[in-house]
Amino acid sequence: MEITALSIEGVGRFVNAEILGFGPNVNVLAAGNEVGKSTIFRAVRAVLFKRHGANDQDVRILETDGSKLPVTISLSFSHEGSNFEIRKSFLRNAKSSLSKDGKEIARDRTADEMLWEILGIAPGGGKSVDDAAFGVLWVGQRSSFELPVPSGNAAMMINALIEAEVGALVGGERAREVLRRMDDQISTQLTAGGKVQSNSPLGEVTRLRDGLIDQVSAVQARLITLDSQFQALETLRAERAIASDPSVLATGTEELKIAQESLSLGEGAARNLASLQQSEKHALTLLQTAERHLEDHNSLTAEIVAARAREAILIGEIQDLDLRYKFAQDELDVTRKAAAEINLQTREIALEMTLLDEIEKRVKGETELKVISNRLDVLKHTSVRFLALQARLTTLKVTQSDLTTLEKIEREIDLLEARVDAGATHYRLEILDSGTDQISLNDIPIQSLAEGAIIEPLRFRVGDKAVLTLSPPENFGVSEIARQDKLRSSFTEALNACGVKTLDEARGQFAQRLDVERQIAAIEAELQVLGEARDSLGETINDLQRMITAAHLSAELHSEQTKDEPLPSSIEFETRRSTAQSRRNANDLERQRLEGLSSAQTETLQTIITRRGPKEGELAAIRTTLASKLVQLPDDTCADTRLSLEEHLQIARSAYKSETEKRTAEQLSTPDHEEIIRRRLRVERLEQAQRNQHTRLGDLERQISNLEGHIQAAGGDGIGEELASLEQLAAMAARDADRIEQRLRVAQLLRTAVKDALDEGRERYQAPIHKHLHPYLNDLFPGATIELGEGFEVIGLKRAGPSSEAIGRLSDGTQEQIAVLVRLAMGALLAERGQIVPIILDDALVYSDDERIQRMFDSLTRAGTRQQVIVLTCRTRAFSTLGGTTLSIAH
Amino acid sequence: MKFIHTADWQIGKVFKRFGGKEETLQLARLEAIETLGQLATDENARHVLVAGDVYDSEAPGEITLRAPLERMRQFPNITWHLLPGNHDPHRPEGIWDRILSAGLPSNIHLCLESKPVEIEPAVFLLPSPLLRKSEIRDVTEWMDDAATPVGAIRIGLAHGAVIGFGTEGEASNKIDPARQRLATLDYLALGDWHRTLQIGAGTWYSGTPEPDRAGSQEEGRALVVEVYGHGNPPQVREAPTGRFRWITREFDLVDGSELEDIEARLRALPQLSKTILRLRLKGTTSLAARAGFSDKETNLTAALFSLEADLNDLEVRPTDADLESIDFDGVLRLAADRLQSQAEDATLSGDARHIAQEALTQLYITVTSMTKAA
Repeated sequence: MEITALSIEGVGRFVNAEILGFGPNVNVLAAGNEVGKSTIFRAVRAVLFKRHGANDQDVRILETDGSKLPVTISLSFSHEGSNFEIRKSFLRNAKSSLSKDGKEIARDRTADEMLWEILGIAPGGGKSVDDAAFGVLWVGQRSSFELPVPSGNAAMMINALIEAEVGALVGGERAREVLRRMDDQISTQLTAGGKVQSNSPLGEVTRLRDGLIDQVSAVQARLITLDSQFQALETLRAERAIASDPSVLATGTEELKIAQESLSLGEGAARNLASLQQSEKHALTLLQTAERHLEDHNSLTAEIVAARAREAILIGEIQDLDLRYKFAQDELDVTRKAAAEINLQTREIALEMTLLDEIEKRVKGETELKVISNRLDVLKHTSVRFLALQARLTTLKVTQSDLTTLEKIEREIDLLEARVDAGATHYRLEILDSGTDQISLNDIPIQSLAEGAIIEPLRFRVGDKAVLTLSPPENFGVSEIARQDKLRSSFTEALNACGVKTLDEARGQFAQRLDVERQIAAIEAELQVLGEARDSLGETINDLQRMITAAHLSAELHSEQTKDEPLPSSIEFETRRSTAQSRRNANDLERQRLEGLSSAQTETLQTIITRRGPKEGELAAIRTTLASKLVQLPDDTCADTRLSLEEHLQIARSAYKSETEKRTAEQLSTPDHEEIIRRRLRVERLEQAQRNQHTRLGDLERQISNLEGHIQAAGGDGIGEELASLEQLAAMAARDADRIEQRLRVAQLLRTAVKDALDEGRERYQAPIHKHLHPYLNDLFPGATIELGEGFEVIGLKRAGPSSEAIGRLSDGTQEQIAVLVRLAMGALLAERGQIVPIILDDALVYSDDERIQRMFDSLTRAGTRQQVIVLTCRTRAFSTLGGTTLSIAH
Repeated sequence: MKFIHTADWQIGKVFKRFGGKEETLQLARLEAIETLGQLATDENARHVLVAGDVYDSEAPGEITLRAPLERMRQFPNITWHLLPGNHDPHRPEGIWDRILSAGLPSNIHLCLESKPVEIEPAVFLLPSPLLRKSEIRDVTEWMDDAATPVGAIRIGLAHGAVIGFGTEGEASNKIDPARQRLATLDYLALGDWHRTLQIGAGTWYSGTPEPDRAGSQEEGRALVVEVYGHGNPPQVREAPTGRFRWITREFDLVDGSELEDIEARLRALPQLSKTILRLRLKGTTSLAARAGFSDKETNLTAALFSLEADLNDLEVRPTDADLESIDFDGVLRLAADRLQSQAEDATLSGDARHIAQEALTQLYITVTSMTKAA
């Protein structure tokens, strides 16, 4: 089909108009708003798809306001080599006429339906029809960004064409049913992420199995314990039988009795021997005493002789030391007198030095005070400036971010206003001289000229003669105006938050804020030069004030100490200090010499005293010892005492010999100490063995009793049956889990096999559309592919990545471009198979940028090579490069 | 001298996989004792020799412990000689001491020591109780030297596996097959082997009175033994005692068309409601026959006491008709062809091929059910 001519009467603003210039390729009707492009589009739809007797909204909207004329539309088109004309009048005097090659072939209802038959459109429910391919390829105003979803007949037509080429997609519906059932099966066991659902049969049986396995392990452990207790009890009972054997017990008792008797005999003999040994020891003691008395006597005699010789030597040495001490004492007295004189001179020089130090501190303190005072003045001044600027900064609230937000909102409002304005009907009212003060708009008098867009009802009053209300189309720009209101509200809120009333005021505040921030930065730079931080400025000022106070106090102190002393010149000061230091140095040298001499002399005296003391002590001790020894052994009894001691010694030797002989005889018949110990240890060992046996028997009885209790309790619990039951239940749960897992694997494998086959079939089936889509898609998105659904609906765009982008996530412009491209591809598919239908785009590509729109023009031009393309647009400048045939409206 | 030889009662055995029917099977094992008592009464036999494994576990609960004793108490004129086996060995304070503590009915004799017991004048029982689950030595060896009066009848009673015979029982307790001759026994009553079986002239396994597993003894039996004097061969006769039959049937299929006949043959089995059947299908079957088996399996399960069908070795091989039932062409046929390829792919594991077979079967069942619903 190719439209060749269109004329309309009583349609909208067109009393009688004709669209001129239709050609076979791209046709462009570019005209401003309110020219009636969309009315023309609606008229074409009505004449093709509406019965002539229709009275619905689609037809009524075509009626000219206030007109009594019928809505009459005449469309000429060529189709399959013939020229047709359909002419319909709606609403008044409704009729329809279809002509072929200049000859009328049908009227009224027959004409309506014959037209549909020619165009391949199935009759609908009487009032409208399924517009089949036209529904896909004719895009009304504001519909160009809607993704094409072919209607029932359109999809059927596309399916028929595709199946004629690649065959039908057999079993697709049943495959989807199988998939649905497998999904149902899988979803009862697994989550969407492929994990086992905890409340699924598999989850429950797995939990049951694991729980039973744990229980089996626990009961097995108890059974193993029971088994070991059986064995332990057997062992203990055998042990008890051995331990309680009477013959073993009797043997032990006899062995103990023999050992005890042997020990008793041995210990008696040992006691006798010990008594004889004691007597022998006593005799030996007496002998040793006699020998020692004689030796003591001889020693004492020799000591008296030696003490008398030593006494004489010591007396001579002490007399010599006394003479040397007196000479050294005289020399030390002379040295001490000279040292006292030197100390007097040293104190005088020290006083002079102290006075000079105080004078120096006083001069230095006064100099420092001046420097600190100057720095304090500078910092105080800087601090005052800084605080003032900070206070100013707090009053200036507008930030760069605020300003950016406000400007952005203002731009959006402007953009929306422009968009609404562009889409709206415009009015222009000029007041002639006689009409001055007669006409008002919304009760505001118009002086000379009023013009603008009709975006809300406008009420023009002509004095008290007439009221004219101009209203925009229903729902016109509702979303844009709502968006504007929302943005204005946001704009006002943002201004209030900044404390300003206008954007200009905000800009002024922001400029002032920048100036204050610059001044603060300058102050911070000054402080950096002074080595001060902004945050510690106050603290520094306080520190400097404290330093000045301290300096004043110090100066006062130094002034007090030197108040009688006039401040000398620096030369005088240095001369006095040099003289005092020279005197002090000379004095120090002399004092050191005298101190060294005095120390040496004192040391000499000390040495003499040190040497004399011991000799004096030794002499006293010798005299004391000698006196004591002479008391013990007077010179006159010495010889008689010696004879008596020698006689006592002889008697003691005889007694000792006798005791030794008796002890030796007894020792031969007595067991030695080790033997006694051995006999005692044996008795203890045998006694311990008897006690151990009794203890062991008691322990065995207790252990046996305990084990018997445990075994009886465990046996009574039916642990054997419990284990067998749990093992079987665990095995059943494991089998159930395996069975469910296998069923799950089967469902998953079946699902994968069916889905793969379905995907492949669908891919093959959609190949013709993809083939026609490819060149168009390549014009805008090189290398990209479109993912189509079962009913050819657009699902996603696949570009560089492995997965496709959902269509809804793309920008409005891209969505609109893809929607138009898919329509072009479907048109190409239909055209290739003889179903040539014009493509009509009414006000499309409104969201395309400059580059994209040029590429879209390339695609439209490509489509125009196959079939007629009719583009209706109000964007005369933007569409000026589309080329093609220019349509015009002739009234 | 006439007596009943029985063994392997295994009272307390659990049958969890039978679910709610477990109690019925457990009760049947107790009822077998009453059947034995009635058999002894009918045969005018005054003794029943139980050759081990009276209990399934050496630590049963109190009711399980006492239930068989109470059954035996109902036959006061019969003396029951119970021998510990590998399932219930005699250990200190173990199951047999518990029985003694609980109070033993006067007509029950526990064979807890390996020494001759005169059970009738000039009739000596030589029992060999197991004192642990597994004995390395031959516990019947002592019988060779066991003294009994000249001319007295000597009856051995033991539980274990005869050496060189192979073992089906769980015990590894070996018994010399020549024991009867070596110990000059007139009869050796054995237990542990769950089939009635003669080992020698006077050496028998009695089997269990009530079967408990598939692939073993199908029907419960006991032996009626009559000994006519020392040195004379005994006369042994089998007597049925069991209530349930445990049978195994295996069929090798060619294309699954045999399933109709198999179902008919299985339905013809006697006492279906008291039959526990393990059905093993091997070979190959068509998809249609495989899918149709589910219905037959349901019918048989309803008819039998229990059915366990093992189809692991049954290979599903779809026919052209099977595949056409899924679809002549198109998506589902492509999926079916691929699943069949996987099922026949020798490079895949057996498990993977099996899953592919099952998936193909599932596809067949799903599609045919959808077709029927349509």
